[in-house]
Amino acid sequence: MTNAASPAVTDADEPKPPIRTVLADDHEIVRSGMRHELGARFEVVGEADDAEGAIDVITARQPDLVVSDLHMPRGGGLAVVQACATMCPVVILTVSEAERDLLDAVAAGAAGYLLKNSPIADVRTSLVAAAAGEPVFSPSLAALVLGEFRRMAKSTDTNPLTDRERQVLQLVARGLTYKELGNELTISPKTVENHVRNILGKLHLSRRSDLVRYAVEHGLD
Amino acid sequence: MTATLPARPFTTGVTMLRAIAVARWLTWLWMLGLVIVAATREVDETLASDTSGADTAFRHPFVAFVCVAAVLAMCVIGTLLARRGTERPLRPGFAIAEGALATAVSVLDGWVFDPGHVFETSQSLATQYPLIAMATVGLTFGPWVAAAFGTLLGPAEAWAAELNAFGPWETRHILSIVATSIFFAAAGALFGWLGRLLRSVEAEIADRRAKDEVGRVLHDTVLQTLALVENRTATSDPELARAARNADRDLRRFLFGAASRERHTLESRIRSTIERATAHHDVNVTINVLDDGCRASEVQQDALAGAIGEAVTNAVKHAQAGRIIVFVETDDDGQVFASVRDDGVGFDPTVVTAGHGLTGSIAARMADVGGRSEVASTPGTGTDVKIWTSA
Repeated sequence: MTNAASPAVTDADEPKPPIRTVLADDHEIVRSGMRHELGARFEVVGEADDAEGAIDVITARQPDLVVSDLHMPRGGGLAVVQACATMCPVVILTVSEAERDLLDAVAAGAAGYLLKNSPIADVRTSLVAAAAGEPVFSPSLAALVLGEFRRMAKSTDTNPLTDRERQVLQLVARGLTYKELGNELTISPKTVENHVRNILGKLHLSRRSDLVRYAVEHGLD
Repeated sequence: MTATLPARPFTTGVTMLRAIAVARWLTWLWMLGLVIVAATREVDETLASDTSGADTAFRHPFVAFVCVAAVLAMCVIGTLLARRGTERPLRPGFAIAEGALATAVSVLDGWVFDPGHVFETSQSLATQYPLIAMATVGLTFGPWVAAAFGTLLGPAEAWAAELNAFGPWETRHILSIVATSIFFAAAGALFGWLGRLLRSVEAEIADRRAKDEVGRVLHDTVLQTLALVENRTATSDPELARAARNADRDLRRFLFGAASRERHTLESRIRSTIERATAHHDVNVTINVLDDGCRASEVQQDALAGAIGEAVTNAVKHAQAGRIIVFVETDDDGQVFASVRDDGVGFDPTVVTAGHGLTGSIAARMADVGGRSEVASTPGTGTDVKIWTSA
């Protein structure tokens, strides 16, 4: 597990321009923490503490990457994703492990969904990948998505995931990077990326069953 | 938290009270119709054993109308109470009055009608009103009180029969009295039980909502800050980082743990094992357990949890791992697969002594219960332990 090390080595070999990044989070302390931790690979070109402000900054600065919190005043991260996902990759960085939040973010077009309690090295690696167009999400969320699809398969007798996609998801949940994952399955990292993209695309499907289960778990009405 | 919440409005109870109010009005209309018909009907002297000389079915029509008026009053009060909303919909006074009135009307049935009415002809004066009263009493006082109240309606019928100059008593009449008691006691108990059930379901829903709300707020504020503290102090102040991680873990356990703990014993076994193994170590552990229908035996689950604990212990003690990802899932046969990956120093599997303790202990545990394990590692890239409960 040398998530942070491998890209760092390639960076040293051929220096790349920094990734122009916009940070959106309603907590000042989180933004300053992110600025501090992102390192030389990233250049923070704008910040915002609510959704409207973020959309303005992103439209004005045209960054390579947006890192946005989910729960923010005036629309939250979902509004940012909806407005800006076509301009550049938007990665949600949140503390929420709630299934609904993940599904909503992906459905809205988020390029990734990361948890704030992930090690900072992992976050950095994932953000570099996201800026390059790869869909990224935390291992625990991959497990959550895998569980969701399995429950769907049980309740409807149709599994929308192919065996390969299921394998990919399982390996992401086990914490493998896309590169390690490609080695394990003897496919190219590009193919892995496509699988992950397809999996994320299929997530919209599961929202209905998610609602039904939520209703069942939370009683009547 | 739940203990300090104020008494909750009982909204489904109010809905039931409204339904009862409607039923009460219908009963009253029925009763009114019955009394009007009985009071105006010319009695066929050849059929009824009428000795009073009156020309209607009533001996005391005025009292009958008083009963109708009393039930009308209950209809009005009941409707007002049900419309008042959720504050205090269930008034003990009202329920007692309703129960008493239903019993009284049942008794007076024998007095207002001409002799030969009880057990013999047409409707009772009270019609369905005792049933309405059982619903009110059951909802207000619960199943036991309502059942006790219901048994009074049998004796009430017996008293009505006495007032109606009934005789001689036969076994079938006694049986009828007993049946009346049993029927209304059962009805009262049923309504009381239903009310109690609705109340507990409603309380549970409210609890979940409150917990969801608290969880959301804590997510947005405390967990956020803890995650940040943990990340920023990881190198500068490991002690603070550890404190933050522990607080984060405890908070998450409080917020999300209780429910999943009850439901998934496999997950709770694994989580507590890992907690023990990492208790005094500064390590970031991600635990993913997908337990949909684990059919491994208790012994197998314990062995699996023990093996996972062994792998985690090894990662923190010997591999100096900073990050561990534990992934567990069940396959279609209900057997369990687990993977423990760390980012530690790793070892060369060809050098037997380095990994022998780890490999041997885990493999032995799993072999004992019919499972197997694999350990993959290269120096410098961490270790991946895979465990299956089946061969």
